[in-house]
Amino acid sequence: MIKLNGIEKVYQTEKIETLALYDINLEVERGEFLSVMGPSGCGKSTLLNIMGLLDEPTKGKVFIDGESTVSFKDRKRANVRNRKIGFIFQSYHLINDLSVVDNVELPLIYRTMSSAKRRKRALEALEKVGLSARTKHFPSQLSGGQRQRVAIARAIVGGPEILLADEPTGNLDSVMGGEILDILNKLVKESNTTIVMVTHDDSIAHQSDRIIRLFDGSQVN
Amino acid sequence: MIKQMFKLIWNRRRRNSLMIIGIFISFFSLFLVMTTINYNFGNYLKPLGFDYDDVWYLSIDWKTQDPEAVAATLRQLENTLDSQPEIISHAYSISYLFMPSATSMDDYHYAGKTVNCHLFQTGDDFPDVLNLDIVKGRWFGLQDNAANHIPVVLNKYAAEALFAGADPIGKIIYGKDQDFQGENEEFKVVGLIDEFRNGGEFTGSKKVLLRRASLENDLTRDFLKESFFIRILFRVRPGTTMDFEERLMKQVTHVARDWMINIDQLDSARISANKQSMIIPTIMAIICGFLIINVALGLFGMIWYNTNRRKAEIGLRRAMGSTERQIYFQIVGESLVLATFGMITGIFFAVQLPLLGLIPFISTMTYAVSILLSILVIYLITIVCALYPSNLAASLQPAIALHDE
Repeated sequence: MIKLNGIEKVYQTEKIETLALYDINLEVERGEFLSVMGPSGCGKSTLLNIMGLLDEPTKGKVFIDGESTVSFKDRKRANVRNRKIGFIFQSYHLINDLSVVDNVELPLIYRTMSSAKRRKRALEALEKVGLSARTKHFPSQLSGGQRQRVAIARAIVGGPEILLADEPTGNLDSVMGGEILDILNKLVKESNTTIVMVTHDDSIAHQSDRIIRLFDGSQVN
Repeated sequence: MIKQMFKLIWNRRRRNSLMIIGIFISFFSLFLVMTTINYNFGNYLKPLGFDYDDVWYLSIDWKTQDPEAVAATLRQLENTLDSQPEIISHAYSISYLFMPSATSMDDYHYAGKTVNCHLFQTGDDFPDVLNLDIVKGRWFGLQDNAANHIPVVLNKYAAEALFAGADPIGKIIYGKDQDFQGENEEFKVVGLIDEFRNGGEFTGSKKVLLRRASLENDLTRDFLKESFFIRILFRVRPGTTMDFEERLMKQVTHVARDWMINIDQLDSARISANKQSMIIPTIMAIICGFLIINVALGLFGMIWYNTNRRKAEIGLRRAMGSTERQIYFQIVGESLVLATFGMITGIFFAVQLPLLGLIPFISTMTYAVSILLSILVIYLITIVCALYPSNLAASLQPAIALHDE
């Protein structure tokens, strides 16, 4: 599903050159639940951003569904992100001035779709995460766990094959974190979604199919 | 996407309220300026109703109070003008010709109707001097010397207001007598002219009533009592040089020794009148210009500030599948929606002017065009202000933008 070949990422400022990722080779199968672990600043989020086409590697190639993304122009990259990838962030990234259902609809407004169909799919996604009763609420009226569930609904509303989750339980207590993980596990089982999750938490990582560890930008296992 | 833009701006209306008020004030000021410009431009395209080329005039001011002495000197002046080969025709003009800020108005009555008309007193050769077209009836002439009624000529607007489409010729209307005291004097309509915009190209059409100014009839020599704005207009042959002005000046000052006399060209008076007409629109345009510059700077600053504050949202949108182009249009579109909210309030107030008929001489079409032009200008300013911040937003790296909290 996702294949990384010799990925290297260097951040360059005027004075400093920082090697964020070095020689990453990785393959994630369809329907696999992969956890990426490592200390802060080891390049986990950078790796996730490169997998999600939010960032470009300095060296190496990213393949999605067997297709190299090197030559993808902005439009094609945006289309892949919209259709194939769903993102879940540690800090939810909800738009506070939009209601829950409007937030969930966000990926669909970049598709040609009637507003009625968009609304229907957003409500279905919210039902999947157990938030049908909160559709008209605004993010500020929700708890952290509820916000993250909204973010998951937004990530799955477009029916992506890949979910990239950057510390989805990082801001939540263990109960809430457990709930979020249950939802993700359910998604893998029910819709064969590929999940790549960055986490610090060993207990959460061990619920995934496979764990890879990064240290100073390199893969250590 | 557009629906969501409206939702976003509506939900952020409190945060954006100052800018919406700014846009509303700018729009309304711009609308007033546009209406003034449109009104003036519309007037400029209309015919004046007379021809000012090669028309000169004597402005005269006498000091003596004896009307007979004044009449005698005026006759001598008329003879002097008659004797000049350069002069084709001449006529009295006791009127505010090309003086847009001055006016003389009176009420005239017909069949229970009262119409306020702009009043002019003119000589018998006035149409020849100004190439004035008489649409119906005739101008003043010798046949009016023995008339029992004061002859008057109306323009089409006065005739329409008084007679509502009926033939005005021969009708008797009532107004103030020659001393401008009572309101029982009878005036007989002898002629009809089309347009007569004495104030200049930028002034609007008026209801005009022209009375005869002649020394030959007691009813038409009331102008001798005061020398306010008395002019003798004369048409000169094309190509007449300024030397003639000097020669004529010598002759007329010789005839009317104690009088103050000036010679000028009607075209100069027209240019001066046009400048005068443009003073208020120019002041309005300058004030409006400053206001718009302020709003543009404010709008630019706000869009830039908002774009910077919303980096994480921009990153999120990119992650959700937005292209650079879509981000660009998102920022421009939101700015346009913001402008739309400001303008909706402005349009509400703007349409009250034609609906309530607050300025009756400005047509609904002029208002409509002004509203449209103001909308276009505000949208254009908004787009220009949004271009740079939109470009910055579109070029943000999604991964970097997402980490901007």
